[in-house]
Amino acid sequence: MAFAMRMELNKEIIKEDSFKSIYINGKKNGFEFDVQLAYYRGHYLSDIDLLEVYCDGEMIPQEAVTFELKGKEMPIYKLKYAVTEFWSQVELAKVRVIKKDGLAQGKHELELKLMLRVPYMQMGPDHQYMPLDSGDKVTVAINE
Amino acid sequence: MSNIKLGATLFCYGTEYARYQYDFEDCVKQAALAGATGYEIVGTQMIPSYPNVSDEFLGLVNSLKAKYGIGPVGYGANNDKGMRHDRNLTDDEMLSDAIIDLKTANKLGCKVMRVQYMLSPEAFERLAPYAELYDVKAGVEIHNPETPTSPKMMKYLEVIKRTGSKHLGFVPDFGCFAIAPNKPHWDKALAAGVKEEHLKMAAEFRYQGVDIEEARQKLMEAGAHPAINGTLQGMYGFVQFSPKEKLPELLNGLKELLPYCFEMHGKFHYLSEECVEPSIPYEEILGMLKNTDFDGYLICEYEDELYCGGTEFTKRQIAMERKLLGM
Repeated sequence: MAFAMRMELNKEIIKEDSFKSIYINGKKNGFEFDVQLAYYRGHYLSDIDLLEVYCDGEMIPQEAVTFELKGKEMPIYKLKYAVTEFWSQVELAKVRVIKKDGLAQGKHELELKLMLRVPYMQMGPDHQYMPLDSGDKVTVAINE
Repeated sequence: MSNIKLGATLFCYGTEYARYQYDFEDCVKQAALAGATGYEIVGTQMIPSYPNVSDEFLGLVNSLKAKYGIGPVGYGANNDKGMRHDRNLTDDEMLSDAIIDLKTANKLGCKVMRVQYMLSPEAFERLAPYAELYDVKAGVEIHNPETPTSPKMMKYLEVIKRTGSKHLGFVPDFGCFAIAPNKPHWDKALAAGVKEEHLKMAAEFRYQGVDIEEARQKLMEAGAHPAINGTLQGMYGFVQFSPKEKLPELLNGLKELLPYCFEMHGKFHYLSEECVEPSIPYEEILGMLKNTDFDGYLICEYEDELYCGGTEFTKRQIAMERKLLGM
């Protein structure tokens, strides 16, 4: 569907200050950032239809991405089964990305594609709900 | 003689809350400052341990009640029928979730719970014995584009009458009495480049009951800016409006349902400094309500489509309600 709801109550969906490199065994091998859900209420993680991370236009393989909420780190494929994990819109989730050698010093374009169903706004007789776009695209800098 | 108590939903401060300008305490404090004597809490919005109430959160709620003099009176439940990725929840599942909501409402001390019509009339009927046990009155929200007499709502009325349960009823939202276009939508369309003449044309189509697709086509033929499409969608959806001549009929519909109404939602989208809502006729609605037997909360609900925050508007709304109700 072409139309998707956008509700940027807080302009910053990806928290730019949270962006930093991940070190695995002392070597730079990825990055992480915090995300706020762009809606007036929280959602069960099972409402997430799509979560993809792009860096400088290149999609990160799904298995290298995780989503962490309240200290629980999950692979992306499990989100759709997470019918009891509730993501409040004021609670930040952490997205972690494993990327060999990490990102080089300098500026990078980071894009999060994040699509959800608004689970009480049914759009037709079947399993079709108002899509919510909680994605974001920012330019971030790696200083080390 | 009516006994109307004025409250606010903390949803009014949803923008401030999402921006971390207000925490939960600030929201309660602002509602108290605005003049609310009780508040509605939307579980999915402000309960950190949703769908349950942790003892820690309950402690906070109680300490704020002692500090600011107001506590939760209504629980806004969401009925997330689409929460599974592969199919809709069944009635059995929807009912089970609604029972958790009853427990939450009860623990918070709320005597009324707003439910959404995603909970089918059949599941709603099965909720009655549980609602009675927890002594929480479950009211289906009558939200625009539904009205007190629309067929969907009549199905719930049948259930309420058939069961005779005093714990099943309605929570009407005054947005369903809109008789003019939504001002924030109108202003946003103008800002996006839509010409006022085309907006007036769209409103006229809505008043005349022209089909939305036909209206869209005519507007495109007249050379309207494409941004009018979103505005048009609203005019036929959640912020639809009726011709003023239909208002007495709509208000009569509400009057008929009043014996089953547990709480009212005073929806508003904008209030001028003179405290006038441009699309929802509060003078007529409250003029009618004050001369009835309605006994319950009128919970004001600011829907912040301007993303400007609800603090000032909520004060104006309660001041307006007081004036119109002679309180």
